[in-house]
Amino acid sequence: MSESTGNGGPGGGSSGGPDALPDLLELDLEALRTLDHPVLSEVVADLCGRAEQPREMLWGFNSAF
Amino acid sequence: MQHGGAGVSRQATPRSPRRVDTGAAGRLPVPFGQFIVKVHGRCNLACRYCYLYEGPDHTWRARPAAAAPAVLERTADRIAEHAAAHGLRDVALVLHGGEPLLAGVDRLAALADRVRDLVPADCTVHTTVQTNATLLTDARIAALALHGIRIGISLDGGLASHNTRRTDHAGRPSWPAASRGARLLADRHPDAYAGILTVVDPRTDPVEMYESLLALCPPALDLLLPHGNWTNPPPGLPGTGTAPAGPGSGRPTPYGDWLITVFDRWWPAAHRETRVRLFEECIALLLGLPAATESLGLDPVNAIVVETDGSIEQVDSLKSAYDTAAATGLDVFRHTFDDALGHPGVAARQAGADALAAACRACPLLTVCGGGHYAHRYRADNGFTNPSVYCADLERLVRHIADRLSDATAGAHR
Repeated sequence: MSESTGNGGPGGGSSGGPDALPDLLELDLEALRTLDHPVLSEVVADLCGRAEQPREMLWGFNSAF
Repeated sequence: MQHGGAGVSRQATPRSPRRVDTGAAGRLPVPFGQFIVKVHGRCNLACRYCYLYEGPDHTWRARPAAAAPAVLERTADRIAEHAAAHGLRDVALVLHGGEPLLAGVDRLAALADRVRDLVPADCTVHTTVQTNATLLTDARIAALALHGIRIGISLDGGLASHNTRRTDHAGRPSWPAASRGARLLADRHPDAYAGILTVVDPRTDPVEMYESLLALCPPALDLLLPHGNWTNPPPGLPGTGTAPAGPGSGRPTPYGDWLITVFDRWWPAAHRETRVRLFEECIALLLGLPAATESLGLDPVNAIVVETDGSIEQVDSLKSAYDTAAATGLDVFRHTFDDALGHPGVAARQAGADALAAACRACPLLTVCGGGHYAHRYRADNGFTNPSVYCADLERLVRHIADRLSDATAGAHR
Protein backbone atom coordinates (compact mmCIF):
# COMPACT_ATOMS: atom_id res chain seq x y z
CA MET A 1 0.00 0.00 0.00
CA SER A 2 2.10 2.88 -1.22
CA GLU A 3 -0.14 5.37 -2.95
CA SER A 4 -2.56 7.88 -1.62
CA THR A 5 -6.04 7.76 -3.02
CA GLY A 6 -6.37 11.49 -3.05
CA ASN A 7 -6.13 13.84 -0.15
CA GLY A 8 -5.44 11.38 2.63
CA GLY A 9 -8.86 10.04 3.58
CA PRO A 10 -10.29 6.67 2.61
CA GLY A 11 -12.34 6.47 -0.52
CA GLY A 12 -12.08 7.60 -4.07
CA GLY A 13 -14.52 10.44 -3.73
CA SER A 14 -13.81 13.88 -2.35
CA SER A 15 -11.90 13.50 0.88
CA GLY A 16 -13.55 15.32 3.78
CA GLY A 17 -16.79 15.79 1.87
CA PRO A 18 -20.18 15.29 3.50
CA ASP A 19 -20.32 11.62 2.50
CA ALA A 20 -16.74 10.78 3.41
CA LEU A 21 -15.96 8.16 6.00
CA PRO A 22 -14.18 9.31 9.15
CA ASP A 23 -10.44 9.45 8.53
CA LEU A 24 -8.94 6.73 10.71
CA LEU A 25 -5.75 6.18 8.75
CA GLU A 26 -3.46 8.12 11.07
CA LEU A 27 -4.50 6.44 14.30
CA ASP A 28 -1.64 4.87 16.20
CA LEU A 29 -2.38 1.16 16.41
CA GLU A 30 -0.39 0.66 19.59
CA ALA A 31 -2.36 3.45 21.24
CA LEU A 32 -5.62 1.81 20.23
CA ARG A 33 -4.63 -1.29 22.17
CA THR A 34 -4.62 0.74 25.37
CA LEU A 35 -8.10 2.17 25.00
CA ASP A 36 -10.77 1.00 27.35
CA HIS A 37 -12.54 -1.00 24.65
CA PRO A 38 -11.91 -4.72 25.04
CA VAL A 39 -13.09 -5.85 21.61
CA LEU A 40 -11.20 -3.09 19.77
CA SER A 41 -8.06 -3.83 21.79
CA GLU A 42 -8.17 -7.51 20.88
CA VAL A 43 -8.88 -6.83 17.22
CA VAL A 44 -6.04 -4.33 16.95
CA ALA A 45 -3.68 -6.72 18.73
CA ASP A 46 -4.31 -9.19 15.94
CA LEU A 47 -3.85 -6.52 13.28
CA CYS A 48 -0.66 -4.93 14.54
CA GLY A 49 1.63 -7.14 12.50
CA ARG A 50 -0.46 -7.04 9.37
CA ALA A 51 1.20 -4.07 7.69
CA GLU A 52 4.47 -6.01 7.56
CA GLN A 53 2.97 -9.26 6.27
CA PRO A 54 3.67 -10.22 2.68
CA ARG A 55 0.57 -10.01 0.53
CA GLU A 56 0.56 -13.74 -0.13
CA MET A 57 -0.18 -14.33 3.57
CA LEU A 58 -3.48 -12.52 3.33
CA TRP A 59 -5.83 -15.34 2.48
CA GLY A 60 -9.21 -14.04 1.47
CA PHE A 61 -11.13 -17.07 0.18
CA ASN A 62 -14.49 -16.67 1.87
CA SER A 63 -15.91 -20.17 1.61
CA ALA A 64 -13.53 -21.65 4.17
CA PHE A 65 -11.44 -20.84 7.21
CA MET B 1 10.33 -4.89 -2.97
CA GLN B 2 11.59 -8.44 -3.22
CA HIS B 3 11.18 -10.34 -6.45
CA GLY B 4 10.38 -14.00 -6.60
CA GLY B 5 10.56 -16.22 -9.65
CA ALA B 6 8.80 -15.66 -12.94
CA GLY B 7 8.87 -11.88 -12.53
CA VAL B 8 6.34 -11.90 -9.73
CA SER B 9 6.72 -9.49 -6.84
CA ARG B 10 6.71 -10.41 -3.20
CA GLN B 11 5.78 -7.17 -1.55
CA ALA B 12 5.41 -6.33 2.11
CA THR B 13 2.94 -3.62 2.89
CA PRO B 14 4.70 -0.40 3.90
CA ARG B 15 4.30 0.76 7.52
CA SER B 16 2.50 3.93 8.51
CA PRO B 17 1.74 6.55 7.53
CA ARG B 18 -0.83 4.17 6.10
CA ARG B 19 -1.99 5.07 2.65
CA VAL B 20 -4.52 3.16 0.74
CA ASP B 21 -3.72 1.51 -2.54
CA THR B 22 -6.55 1.55 -5.01
CA GLY B 23 -5.31 -0.15 -8.12
CA ALA B 24 -2.80 -2.46 -9.64
CA ALA B 25 -2.00 -0.77 -12.93
CA GLY B 26 1.44 -1.84 -14.06
CA ARG B 27 2.02 -3.94 -10.98
CA LEU B 28 3.23 -7.52 -11.13
CA PRO B 29 0.76 -10.25 -10.06
CA VAL B 30 0.71 -11.42 -6.48
CA PRO B 31 1.58 -15.12 -6.30
CA PHE B 32 -1.05 -17.53 -5.12
CA GLY B 33 -0.88 -18.24 -1.43
CA GLN B 34 -4.14 -20.08 -0.88
CA PHE B 35 -4.83 -23.34 -2.69
CA ILE B 36 -8.36 -24.71 -2.57
CA VAL B 37 -8.40 -28.37 -3.51
CA LYS B 38 -11.72 -30.00 -4.35
CA VAL B 39 -10.95 -33.38 -2.86
CA HIS B 40 -14.54 -34.44 -3.47
CA GLY B 41 -16.99 -33.01 -5.95
CA ARG B 42 -20.26 -34.17 -4.46
CA CYS B 43 -22.02 -33.48 -1.19
CA ASN B 44 -24.07 -35.62 1.13
CA LEU B 45 -26.36 -32.64 1.63
CA ALA B 46 -28.58 -30.80 -0.83
CA CYS B 47 -28.84 -27.31 0.69
CA ARG B 48 -31.43 -25.43 -1.30
CA TYR B 49 -29.35 -22.30 -1.72
CA CYS B 50 -26.07 -24.01 -2.58
CA TYR B 51 -24.13 -21.87 -5.02
CA LEU B 52 -22.40 -24.94 -6.47
CA TYR B 53 -25.17 -27.44 -7.01
CA GLU B 54 -28.30 -25.29 -7.17
CA GLY B 55 -26.87 -22.45 -9.25
CA PRO B 56 -26.28 -21.86 -12.96
CA ASP B 57 -23.01 -23.78 -13.15
CA HIS B 58 -23.25 -27.43 -14.17
CA THR B 59 -19.60 -28.30 -14.65
CA TRP B 60 -19.67 -30.54 -11.59
CA ARG B 61 -21.91 -33.03 -13.38
CA ALA B 62 -19.21 -34.10 -15.84
CA ARG B 63 -16.40 -34.21 -13.29
CA PRO B 64 -15.36 -37.20 -11.23
CA ALA B 65 -17.00 -37.33 -7.84
CA ALA B 66 -13.68 -37.85 -6.07
CA ALA B 67 -10.25 -36.51 -6.91
CA ALA B 68 -8.04 -39.44 -7.86
CA PRO B 69 -4.74 -39.95 -6.02
CA ALA B 70 -2.84 -38.98 -9.17
CA VAL B 71 -4.67 -35.65 -9.28
CA LEU B 72 -3.95 -34.92 -5.63
CA GLU B 73 -0.30 -35.90 -5.97
CA ARG B 74 0.17 -33.68 -9.00
CA THR B 75 -1.64 -30.84 -7.22
CA ALA B 76 0.73 -31.16 -4.28
CA ASP B 77 3.67 -31.08 -6.69
CA ARG B 78 2.37 -27.88 -8.30
CA ILE B 79 1.77 -26.19 -4.94
CA ALA B 80 5.31 -26.97 -3.87
CA GLU B 81 6.65 -25.76 -7.20
CA HIS B 82 4.83 -22.44 -6.77
CA ALA B 83 5.97 -22.04 -3.18
CA ALA B 84 9.58 -22.62 -4.19
CA ALA B 85 9.42 -20.35 -7.22
CA HIS B 86 8.13 -17.44 -5.18
CA GLY B 87 9.91 -18.04 -1.90
CA LEU B 88 6.65 -18.38 -0.03
CA ARG B 89 7.08 -18.71 3.72
CA ASP B 90 3.46 -19.66 4.33
CA VAL B 91 0.79 -21.25 2.19
CA ALA B 92 -2.81 -22.12 2.95
CA LEU B 93 -4.12 -25.48 1.81
CA VAL B 94 -7.91 -25.66 1.91
CA LEU B 95 -9.51 -29.08 1.56
CA HIS B 96 -12.89 -28.39 0.04
CA GLY B 97 -15.76 -29.73 -2.03
CA GLY B 98 -18.66 -30.63 -2.14
CA GLU B 99 -18.17 -32.34 1.15
CA PRO B 100 -14.46 -33.09 1.53
CA LEU B 101 -14.91 -35.76 4.22
CA LEU B 102 -16.52 -37.97 1.57
CA ALA B 103 -12.98 -38.44 0.26
CA GLY B 104 -12.02 -40.17 3.50
CA VAL B 105 -9.72 -38.89 6.18
CA ASP B 106 -6.80 -40.96 4.91
CA ARG B 107 -6.85 -39.23 1.55
CA LEU B 108 -7.06 -35.80 3.16
CA ALA B 109 -4.18 -36.62 5.48
CA ALA B 110 -2.07 -37.95 2.63
CA LEU B 111 -2.54 -34.76 0.64
CA ALA B 112 -1.71 -32.54 3.61
CA ASP B 113 1.37 -34.59 4.38
CA ARG B 114 2.57 -34.58 0.77
CA VAL B 115 2.28 -30.81 0.42
CA ARG B 116 4.09 -30.34 3.71
CA ASP B 117 6.86 -32.73 2.63
CA LEU B 118 7.39 -31.13 -0.77
CA VAL B 119 7.36 -27.41 -0.01
CA PRO B 120 10.69 -25.77 0.86
CA ALA B 121 11.91 -26.33 4.38
CA ASP B 122 11.20 -22.74 5.41
CA CYS B 123 7.59 -22.83 4.14
CA THR B 124 4.79 -23.53 6.61
CA VAL B 125 1.63 -25.13 5.30
CA HIS B 126 -1.57 -24.13 7.07
CA THR B 127 -4.20 -26.74 6.27
CA THR B 128 -7.90 -26.56 6.92
CA VAL B 129 -10.87 -28.62 5.82
CA GLN B 130 -14.27 -26.97 5.40
CA THR B 131 -17.05 -29.43 6.18
CA ASN B 132 -20.78 -29.52 6.85
CA ALA B 133 -19.87 -31.35 10.10
CA THR B 134 -22.34 -34.21 9.53
CA LEU B 135 -19.54 -36.74 9.01
CA LEU B 136 -17.38 -35.66 11.93
CA THR B 137 -16.65 -38.32 14.49
CA ASP B 138 -14.23 -38.26 17.37
CA ALA B 139 -11.87 -40.58 15.51
CA ARG B 140 -11.98 -38.56 12.29
CA ILE B 141 -11.38 -35.27 14.07
CA ALA B 142 -8.47 -36.79 15.95
CA ALA B 143 -6.97 -38.13 12.74
CA LEU B 144 -7.29 -34.80 10.97
CA ALA B 145 -5.74 -33.00 13.92
CA LEU B 146 -2.88 -35.49 14.01
CA HIS B 147 -2.04 -34.48 10.46
CA GLY B 148 -2.19 -30.78 11.24
CA ILE B 149 -5.57 -30.18 9.64
CA ARG B 150 -7.87 -27.68 11.34
CA ILE B 151 -11.59 -27.93 10.80
CA GLY B 152 -14.01 -25.24 9.71
CA ILE B 153 -17.71 -26.02 9.70
CA SER B 154 -20.60 -24.59 7.72
CA LEU B 155 -23.83 -24.00 9.59
CA ASP B 156 -26.56 -21.44 9.24
CA GLY B 157 -26.96 -20.93 12.94
CA GLY B 158 -26.81 -22.77 16.22
CA LEU B 159 -30.42 -23.91 16.35
CA ALA B 160 -32.32 -26.51 14.36
CA SER B 161 -34.66 -23.79 13.12
CA HIS B 162 -31.72 -21.96 11.52
CA ASN B 163 -30.72 -24.98 9.48
CA THR B 164 -33.98 -26.08 7.92
CA ARG B 165 -32.61 -25.46 4.43
CA ARG B 166 -29.62 -27.69 5.09
CA THR B 167 -31.11 -31.07 4.23
CA ASP B 168 -29.84 -34.27 2.72
CA HIS B 169 -30.89 -35.57 -0.69
CA ALA B 170 -33.99 -37.15 0.83
CA GLY B 171 -35.02 -33.87 2.43
CA ARG B 172 -34.08 -34.93 5.94
CA PRO B 173 -32.60 -32.29 8.24
CA SER B 174 -28.83 -32.31 8.66
CA TRP B 175 -28.99 -30.58 12.02
CA PRO B 176 -28.81 -33.61 14.34
CA ALA B 177 -25.61 -34.89 12.75
CA ALA B 178 -24.15 -31.44 12.15
CA SER B 179 -24.74 -30.28 15.70
CA ARG B 180 -23.26 -33.50 17.05
CA GLY B 181 -20.15 -32.93 14.94
CA ALA B 182 -19.91 -29.30 16.02
CA ARG B 183 -20.19 -30.24 19.67
CA LEU B 184 -17.51 -32.94 19.31
CA LEU B 185 -15.19 -30.41 17.81
CA ALA B 186 -15.85 -27.77 20.45
CA ASP B 187 -15.84 -30.07 23.46
CA ARG B 188 -13.10 -32.57 22.64
CA HIS B 189 -10.84 -30.97 20.02
CA PRO B 190 -10.94 -27.18 20.41
CA ASP B 191 -7.39 -26.81 19.12
CA ALA B 192 -8.50 -28.23 15.78
CA TYR B 193 -11.54 -25.95 15.53
CA ALA B 194 -11.11 -23.23 12.93
CA GLY B 195 -14.55 -21.68 13.07
CA ILE B 196 -18.05 -21.51 11.65
CA LEU B 197 -19.21 -20.08 8.35
CA THR B 198 -22.80 -18.89 8.31
CA VAL B 199 -24.83 -17.64 5.38
CA VAL B 200 -26.94 -14.68 6.42
CA ASP B 201 -30.73 -15.02 6.34
CA PRO B 202 -32.24 -11.64 7.21
CA ARG B 203 -35.52 -13.30 8.20
CA THR B 204 -33.84 -14.67 11.32
CA ASP B 205 -33.38 -12.85 14.57
CA PRO B 206 -29.76 -11.65 14.34
CA VAL B 207 -28.94 -11.63 18.04
CA GLU B 208 -30.53 -15.03 18.58
CA MET B 209 -28.55 -16.34 15.62
CA TYR B 210 -25.26 -14.88 16.84
CA GLU B 211 -25.75 -16.13 20.38
CA SER B 212 -26.71 -19.60 19.17
CA LEU B 213 -23.43 -19.72 17.27
CA LEU B 214 -21.52 -18.57 20.34
CA ALA B 215 -22.98 -21.55 22.18
CA LEU B 216 -21.00 -23.77 19.80
CA CYS B 217 -17.78 -22.09 21.04
CA PRO B 218 -16.22 -21.17 17.70
CA PRO B 219 -12.89 -19.32 17.79
CA ALA B 220 -14.07 -17.43 14.72
CA LEU B 221 -17.17 -16.82 12.64
CA ASP B 222 -17.78 -15.40 9.26
CA LEU B 223 -21.13 -14.07 8.14
CA LEU B 224 -21.52 -14.53 4.42
CA LEU B 225 -23.95 -12.78 2.13
CA PRO B 226 -25.71 -15.39 -0.03
CA HIS B 227 -24.35 -15.45 -3.54
CA GLY B 228 -26.48 -13.59 -6.01
CA ASN B 229 -26.16 -10.83 -8.54
CA TRP B 230 -28.16 -8.36 -10.63
CA THR B 231 -29.43 -11.11 -12.94
CA ASN B 232 -30.13 -13.70 -10.25
CA PRO B 233 -30.70 -11.62 -7.17
CA PRO B 234 -30.35 -12.83 -3.60
CA PRO B 235 -33.56 -13.32 -1.65
CA GLY B 236 -35.11 -10.08 -0.46
CA LEU B 237 -33.37 -7.74 -2.91
CA PRO B 238 -34.49 -6.22 -6.24
CA GLY B 239 -32.86 -7.64 -9.36
CA THR B 240 -33.52 -7.73 -13.05
CA GLY B 241 -35.38 -4.95 -14.76
CA THR B 242 -33.61 -2.28 -12.78
CA ALA B 243 -30.29 -0.74 -13.62
CA PRO B 244 -27.61 -1.61 -11.09
CA ALA B 245 -27.94 0.94 -8.34
CA GLY B 246 -24.74 2.37 -6.96
CA PRO B 247 -24.04 4.02 -3.65
CA GLY B 248 -26.72 6.26 -2.17
CA SER B 249 -29.60 4.42 -3.81
CA GLY B 250 -31.75 4.65 -0.68
CA ARG B 251 -33.25 1.20 -1.10
CA PRO B 252 -34.09 -0.94 1.96
CA THR B 253 -31.08 -2.74 3.41
CA PRO B 254 -32.26 -5.96 5.04
CA TYR B 255 -28.81 -7.55 5.01
CA GLY B 256 -27.07 -4.40 6.22
CA ASP B 257 -29.58 -3.97 9.02
CA TRP B 258 -29.18 -7.58 10.10
CA LEU B 259 -25.41 -7.36 10.15
CA ILE B 260 -25.24 -4.14 12.13
CA THR B 261 -27.54 -5.67 14.73
CA VAL B 262 -25.03 -8.47 15.16
CA PHE B 263 -22.20 -5.95 15.19
CA ASP B 264 -23.90 -3.96 17.94
CA ARG B 265 -24.15 -7.13 20.01
CA TRP B 266 -20.51 -8.11 19.37
CA TRP B 267 -18.74 -4.75 19.61
CA PRO B 268 -19.56 -3.58 23.16
CA ALA B 269 -19.04 -6.95 24.86
CA ALA B 270 -16.79 -7.17 27.90
CA HIS B 271 -14.38 -9.22 25.85
CA ARG B 272 -14.18 -10.50 22.27
CA GLU B 273 -16.45 -13.51 22.49
CA THR B 274 -15.37 -14.73 19.08
CA ARG B 275 -13.60 -13.30 16.05
CA VAL B 276 -16.03 -12.19 13.38
CA ARG B 277 -14.07 -12.06 10.16
CA LEU B 278 -16.37 -9.70 8.25
CA PHE B 279 -16.34 -7.11 11.02
CA GLU B 280 -12.65 -7.40 11.76
CA GLU B 281 -11.62 -7.10 8.14
CA CYS B 282 -13.84 -4.01 7.82
CA ILE B 283 -12.05 -2.53 10.81
CA ALA B 284 -8.69 -3.35 9.25
CA LEU B 285 -9.66 -1.54 6.07
CA LEU B 286 -10.98 1.47 7.96
CA LEU B 287 -7.62 1.67 9.70
CA GLY B 288 -5.86 1.59 6.34
CA LEU B 289 -4.57 -1.97 6.61
CA PRO B 290 -4.94 -4.65 3.96
CA ALA B 291 -7.72 -7.17 4.38
CA ALA B 292 -8.00 -10.93 4.20
CA THR B 293 -11.48 -11.33 2.77
CA GLU B 294 -13.20 -11.41 -0.59
CA SER B 295 -16.18 -9.56 0.88
CA LEU B 296 -14.58 -6.13 1.16
CA GLY B 297 -11.59 -4.11 0.08
CA LEU B 298 -9.39 -3.84 -2.96
CA ASP B 299 -6.67 -6.29 -2.04
CA PRO B 300 -5.64 -8.79 -4.69
CA VAL B 301 -7.21 -12.23 -4.49
CA ASN B 302 -4.47 -14.82 -4.30
CA ALA B 303 -6.59 -17.94 -4.10
CA ILE B 304 -6.83 -20.60 -6.78
CA VAL B 305 -8.89 -23.79 -7.05
CA VAL B 306 -8.05 -27.26 -8.28
CA GLU B 307 -11.07 -29.34 -9.23
CA THR B 308 -11.50 -33.11 -8.87
CA ASP B 309 -10.20 -33.72 -12.40
CA GLY B 310 -7.14 -31.53 -11.92
CA SER B 311 -8.60 -28.48 -13.67
CA ILE B 312 -7.24 -25.20 -12.37
CA GLU B 313 -10.13 -22.83 -11.78
CA GLN B 314 -10.82 -19.39 -10.44
CA VAL B 315 -12.47 -19.00 -7.05
CA ASP B 316 -15.64 -21.04 -7.23
CA SER B 317 -18.06 -18.35 -6.09
CA LEU B 318 -17.89 -17.21 -9.70
CA LYS B 319 -20.04 -20.23 -10.50
CA SER B 320 -22.97 -18.35 -9.01
CA ALA B 321 -22.81 -16.03 -12.03
CA TYR B 322 -23.04 -18.38 -15.03
CA ASP B 323 -22.12 -21.84 -16.22
CA THR B 324 -18.34 -22.33 -16.65
CA ALA B 325 -17.64 -18.91 -15.15
CA ALA B 326 -14.69 -20.23 -13.14
CA ALA B 327 -12.99 -22.11 -15.98
CA THR B 328 -9.45 -21.27 -17.10
CA GLY B 329 -8.66 -24.05 -19.56
CA LEU B 330 -5.65 -24.99 -17.43
CA ASP B 331 -4.90 -28.08 -15.39
CA VAL B 332 -2.23 -29.30 -12.99
CA PHE B 333 -0.89 -31.91 -15.40
CA ARG B 334 -0.05 -29.53 -18.20
CA HIS B 335 0.26 -26.13 -16.53
CA THR B 336 1.84 -24.37 -13.60
CA PHE B 337 0.14 -22.03 -11.20
CA ASP B 338 2.17 -19.24 -12.79
CA ASP B 339 0.25 -19.96 -15.98
CA ALA B 340 -2.94 -19.32 -14.00
CA LEU B 341 -1.62 -15.99 -12.75
CA GLY B 342 -1.71 -14.79 -16.33
CA HIS B 343 -5.37 -15.68 -16.86
CA PRO B 344 -7.52 -12.55 -17.41
CA GLY B 345 -10.07 -13.63 -14.81
CA VAL B 346 -7.37 -14.04 -12.19
CA ALA B 347 -5.83 -10.73 -13.17
CA ALA B 348 -9.19 -9.01 -12.80
CA ARG B 349 -9.34 -10.20 -9.17
CA GLN B 350 -5.95 -8.60 -8.56
CA ALA B 351 -6.68 -5.33 -10.36
CA GLY B 352 -8.13 -3.43 -7.42
CA ALA B 353 -10.16 -0.37 -8.33
CA ASP B 354 -9.19 -0.71 -11.99
CA ALA B 355 -11.74 -3.53 -12.30
CA LEU B 356 -14.60 -1.56 -10.74
CA ALA B 357 -17.52 0.39 -12.14
CA ALA B 358 -17.14 4.17 -12.34
CA ALA B 359 -19.70 4.61 -9.57
CA CYS B 360 -17.55 2.51 -7.25
CA ARG B 361 -14.34 4.30 -8.15
CA ALA B 362 -16.00 7.63 -7.28
CA CYS B 363 -17.51 6.39 -4.03
CA PRO B 364 -16.18 7.64 -0.69
CA LEU B 365 -16.34 4.06 0.59
CA LEU B 366 -14.15 2.72 -2.25
CA THR B 367 -11.15 1.55 -0.28
CA VAL B 368 -13.20 -0.16 2.42
CA CYS B 369 -16.11 -1.62 0.46
CA GLY B 370 -14.00 -2.25 -2.62
CA GLY B 371 -17.15 -3.07 -4.58
CA GLY B 372 -17.90 -5.97 -2.27
CA HIS B 373 -17.59 -9.55 -3.42
CA TYR B 374 -16.67 -9.86 -7.09
CA ALA B 375 -19.37 -12.42 -7.88
CA HIS B 376 -22.08 -10.12 -6.55
CA ARG B 377 -21.37 -7.51 -9.23
CA TYR B 378 -22.40 -9.70 -12.15
CA ARG B 379 -25.05 -8.82 -14.66
CA ALA B 380 -25.62 -10.92 -17.76
CA ASP B 381 -25.44 -8.06 -20.27
CA ASN B 382 -22.20 -6.49 -19.07
CA GLY B 383 -20.29 -8.84 -16.80
CA PHE B 384 -18.74 -7.77 -13.52
CA THR B 385 -18.30 -4.02 -14.02
CA ASN B 386 -21.17 -3.02 -11.77
CA PRO B 387 -21.58 -2.08 -8.15
CA SER B 388 -22.44 -4.98 -5.90
CA VAL B 389 -26.06 -6.11 -5.84
CA TYR B 390 -25.57 -5.57 -2.10
CA CYS B 391 -24.23 -2.03 -2.52
CA ALA B 392 -26.75 -0.35 -0.24
CA ASP B 393 -26.33 -3.02 2.44
CA LEU B 394 -22.54 -2.72 2.31
CA GLU B 395 -22.80 1.03 2.56
CA ARG B 396 -25.03 0.69 5.60
CA LEU B 397 -22.65 -1.76 7.26
CA VAL B 398 -19.41 0.08 6.48
CA ARG B 399 -20.73 3.47 7.61
CA HIS B 400 -22.07 1.95 10.81
CA ILE B 401 -18.78 0.25 11.68
CA ALA B 402 -16.87 3.40 10.76
CA ASP B 403 -19.02 5.47 13.09
CA ARG B 404 -18.65 2.99 15.96
CA LEU B 405 -14.91 2.81 15.42
CA SER B 406 -14.65 6.58 15.26
CA ASP B 407 -16.60 6.91 18.50
CA ALA B 408 -14.37 4.37 20.22
CA THR B 409 -11.16 6.04 19.08
CA ALA B 410 -12.19 9.65 19.61
CA GLY B 411 -9.59 10.20 22.29
CA ALA B 412 -6.79 8.20 20.69
CA HIS B 413 -3.43 9.88 20.03
CA ARG B 414 -2.68 10.64 16.39
